[in-house]
Formats: sequence, structure tokens, C-alpha cells
Amino acid sequence: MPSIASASIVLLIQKLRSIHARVSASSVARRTGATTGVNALGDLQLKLCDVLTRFLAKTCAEVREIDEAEALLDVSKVSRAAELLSRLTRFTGSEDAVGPPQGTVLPFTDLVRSVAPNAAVIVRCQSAYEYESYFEIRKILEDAVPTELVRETFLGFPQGIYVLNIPVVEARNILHHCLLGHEVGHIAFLRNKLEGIPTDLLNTDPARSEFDSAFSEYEAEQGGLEIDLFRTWVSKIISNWFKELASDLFAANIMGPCIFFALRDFALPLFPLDFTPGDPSVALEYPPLCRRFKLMLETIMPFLKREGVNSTEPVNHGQILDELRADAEEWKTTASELGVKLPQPYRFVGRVVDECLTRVQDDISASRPRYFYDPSTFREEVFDLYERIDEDILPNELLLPGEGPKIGRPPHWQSILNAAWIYYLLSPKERFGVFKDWSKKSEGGSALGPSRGTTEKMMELRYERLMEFNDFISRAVEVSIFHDSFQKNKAQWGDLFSDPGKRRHTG
Amino acid sequence: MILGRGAILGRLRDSNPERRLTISPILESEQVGRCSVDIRLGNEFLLVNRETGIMGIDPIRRGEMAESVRRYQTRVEIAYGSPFYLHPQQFSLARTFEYLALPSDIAGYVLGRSSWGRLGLVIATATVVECGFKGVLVLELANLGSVPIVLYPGMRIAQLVLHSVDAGTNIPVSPATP
Repeated sequence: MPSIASASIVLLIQKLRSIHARVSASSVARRTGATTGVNALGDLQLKLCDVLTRFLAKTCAEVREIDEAEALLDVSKVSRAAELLSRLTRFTGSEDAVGPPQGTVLPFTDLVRSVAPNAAVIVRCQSAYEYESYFEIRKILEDAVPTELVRETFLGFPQGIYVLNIPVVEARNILHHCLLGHEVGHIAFLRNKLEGIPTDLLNTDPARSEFDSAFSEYEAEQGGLEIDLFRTWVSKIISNWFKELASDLFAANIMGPCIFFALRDFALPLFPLDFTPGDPSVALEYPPLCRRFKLMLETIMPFLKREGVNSTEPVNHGQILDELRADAEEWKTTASELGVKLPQPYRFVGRVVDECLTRVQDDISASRPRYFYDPSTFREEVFDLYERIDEDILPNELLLPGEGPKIGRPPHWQSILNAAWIYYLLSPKERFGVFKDWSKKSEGGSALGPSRGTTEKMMELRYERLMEFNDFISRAVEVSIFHDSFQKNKAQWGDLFSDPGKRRHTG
Repeated sequence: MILGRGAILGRLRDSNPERRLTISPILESEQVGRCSVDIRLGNEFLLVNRETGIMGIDPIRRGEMAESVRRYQTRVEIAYGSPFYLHPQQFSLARTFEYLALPSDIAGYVLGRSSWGRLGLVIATATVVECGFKGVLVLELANLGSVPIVLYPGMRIAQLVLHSVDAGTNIPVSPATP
């Protein structure tokens, strides 16, 4: 008669085989155009299923010799590992077939790897802009089976997996994909171990006394909370706001002005600009939008300086910058005015978070990470790309002056996205004139919404043009990244990108 | 007159946007030959399915034809560095890697490379690229050999011969292809 351990092992082996079959069946479809993270994860899952199955089979064979309780402990550990593997199949299963464009996948994969070397990256379409991280894989598996079995399997596999999610409805909207900069900001936040800053700050004497007076004010205004509960609540909000705003700070430094344009375009129709007293639950997780805008605008201002920019006709770059800076200043003033009207305890939260952010800003200024986008690069590259877009030329390359062997060089991918946003906002040409109709300030509209007289047909046309524009920009990013990789890896790639003939130009 | 290397390079670097020839990006200067430019394979393919369930394509019945074409084609995007297998007797459409913008006084022809032809790969295309064209070219690949051919996005696959056009026109020929 089989023991409980033996029966459990058989069931668990069946589960592992089904995971193996599922990952294996989708592997062919998955490989085509999938991110390297997905492929690495798929291979790892297959290997781990084999390792765990072999381990269970061995335990099953020995079950008569070893203690039943010991065997059940093994089963319990492996079942935890199998559960994790099962969860991970959602990244490698065939349902992941609708993917974002390579113009998004390639730059953000590289970016995450700059922030977190040795990490695998998955960029995929899901329900919202968000990130996930999986660091526990190796630990859970090492707990489940003897370490030596896992060690070999994990050779060459990254330390952890980061997943960047894009809403399915936004799959083609590369202009909005700039928001992934915020998700990468979260990863930078984790990697820099910044989460402890608020606790350190709250333990200082000035912060303690400020907390006490905030509590008194709150009691006088609303009341109904014990001081300990109040402390827990406030600490939670501080932690959440700090995490979000610090990620915004990283995002603005990584992406440049386009992060603000993207957030404004995406979030303003969905979320209130200011704190909503009637719905404080929103404020528990996220700071009001005006705070996020203010921080981003302060960070992007150095990008919008006029110095070193060509200000001659026909395309006056200085004038474009002036226009963008004036718009940014206007938004910054509005955001600053709104941000001060917070009730307690959010006033206290705001002050603490501001101080925490100052510490992060000081650290960033002292040693600027390599993956940040430089304001001088923005000014050097964006306007040439803007002119290419204006001429309906793919903005994937910057022409080099002189008669050297190289004709052009790839720009930074952030420059392409910034040029695209600026072009989209200003829409100077008939081809994208439909955007301009949308954004006539004189008619009370903005780039964020329809002006008076906008018809349903115009909205459809605008969507069509916007997707066309997105595809155009996505392709530019993709080609420029391949161009850059080609230059860096030419020696390593050898003749892969050549042709089978030895002689060249012979037809 | 066919444009030689010097003329092509001169036009690629022309500061006047109206006269500038764009073939972007040129990854290696050797791509520009004595009288042609090598162009590379892009990473997007439209594969023709083997089993379509379609009796035939009748160009007179335009609506049905468009639907039939959609049904028998599958779009495939290959990551750079990954192989694309073109099996014997298989036909596929493929985009070029380079983006082209021809000024109003230059036109071109796309020709397959004999080095590929000798392996059984035919790169037939609607060979004339009209002056004023902007976009990426679509190549028609067919494997006439008896073994699969492995292609990688980014490979040099065809050549573009450019020549000047007398009394060119500014009439747009095609919108820019994304």
C-alpha cells in the first residue's frame, strides 16, 4: 500500500511534467521575437523541472528506507518550488504572444541591465504599467533540493528577474512607454537600498517633535486615531510616497523631459491633479499628481536650457526650447500652488518625503549614474532628430560632419523619444496636423484633450495617425539600437551580417 | 547616369535636405560599392502559409483577394541575432533594414545578389524605386533550392543601383512606411 509521501510524490511529479510540457510546447512560438529574459527563464524552467523530478523520483525510491516524515518534508519543499515554477509559466506560456514592439523591448532591457547587472528582463503586455521582481527563485529551489543539484542548473543564469509590464491597450504606444522609466526608477530605488531613509529620518529629534505636533493638529481637526495607529498609518504613506517620488526622480534623470510629457498625457485624464479629501485611499499608495509633476519638472529644467542650441532659421531650436520651457514653468507654478493645500497628516508626510528626496538628490549629484541621460546630449541630438521627423525621415541616425569613413552614428534612444514627443506636442506639419487641431490653445484645448468642434471622425483619425507615428518612432529606436550594437560588436559578430560571397560588390 | 561611390557618398552627406539621399543606417562604409549600395535584411517577415484552404487568388475580385492574402500570410518578427529559416519552395516578404528617402532627381533599382542566387535564394522585388520614395523596401524572397536557407536580420541581401533622373518631379509617390 503506498504511503502518503509516495502518493504525494507521484502527484507532484505529474504537476512538474505538466509544467514542463506547457513550457516546452510554447517554446517555439516564444523564441520568435521574445525577450532574452523570457528565453532564459523558459530554459531554466525546463531544467528545473527535470532536476526536481529526478530528486522526487530518488526520494520515492528511498521512501521505504527513510522516515515518512522526512520524505513528507521533502515533498512540501518541492511543492513550494513547483508552485513558483507554475507561477512563472505565465511569462513563458503562449498567452504572452502579444508583445510590445522591439523599439520598447530593446532599450528598456538594456536600461534595466545597466541599473541591475546580471538580471534577466522581461518586457510584456499586461494590465497596467508596473514592475515585478523575482529574486526568490534560487533561494526557494535551494531550500527544496540539495544545493549541488541546483547550482549547476543556475550556472550562467541571472541573479533575479525583473518584469516590466505595459497595458495591452497601450502595446503599440511607444510614446507612453516612456513611463517604463518610472518602473526602472523603482528598480534603481531597490538596488540603491533607499527604502531605509524615511525610518532614519523619522528617528531624529526634530522629526519626532514635528510628528507630535502633526498628531495634535490631526486630533484637533479630525481625531479618532490612537497615536500608535496614527504612526503606522503615516509611516506607510511616507514610505509609499517616497518610493514613488524617488522613482520619478530617477525616471526624469533617465528619460529627460519626455517622462513628464508621457505622465501628463497618460495620467491626467485618469487621476486627479491634486489631493482629493473625499478619497484619501488614493493618497495612501501614490502622492498627488501635482507633487509628481513638480518634482519631474524641477528635474528636467536643466534639459530645457537654451545654451549651445542653434537658434537660426528655418527651424529655430532655441525658440522651440523657449516654448517648452515656458510650458514647463507654467505647469510647475500650477503644481506648486496645488501641492501646498494638503491637510494633516499629508502636510507632515510631504515635508518628510521632501527631505528624504533631498538626500537622494544630493547622492545623485555627488555621483551621477552612468545610465542617466545627459542634458547636453539632449540638446546636441534632439533637434537634428526633430528635423528628420519633420522631413518624414526615420529619426534613427545623426549624420556626421566631414568626409570620414562613417556617414552617421546612432543617437541615444532617449533622444529619439524626446524628439518624437516634442514633435507630437508641437505638430508643425500637415502630416500630423490632426494633433495640432487637438492642441489649439486658442480654442481652449491642449495636447491632452479635444478642442471645441472635435468630431468623432477626427478622434478616429487622430488615433490612426498616432499609431502610425508610434510605429515610425518604434522602428527608429529599434534600428538605432541595432546600429549601436553592430558598431560595438562588429569584431565579435564577424561575417554574420555579411553575405555568403567572398568578393564584395560583384552582384 | 548611374551614380558611382563618390556621388552616392556626396548625396548621403548633402547638407541640402532637398538634394540629400537617405539610406539609413549605413553600418559599414564598404556597403557603398563602386556603383551600388548593399542593403540589408530587416527583421520583419510575412510568411506565406503552406496550407491556406484557398482555391486561388483572383485579382478581378479585389475584396476577396485582399481577404485571401490576409488569410494566407503570417507576420513574423525575428530578434536581431536570431535565425530565420526559409524552407525549400517557401515564399516570404521581408522588409529591408535600411530606411530610404530618395530626392526628386534620383531613382533606383533593387537587384538580388548573385552570391545568394547561387544558393537558390531569389530576391525578386518590384525593382524600381521611384524618385521621391520614402520608406523601407519590401523584398520578395523565395528559396528555389532543395535545402533550407538560414537568414539573419541585418545580413547584406540585395543591392540598390541608383541613377539620376532628368527633370525629376516632386509628386509624392508613396507615404513613408513605418
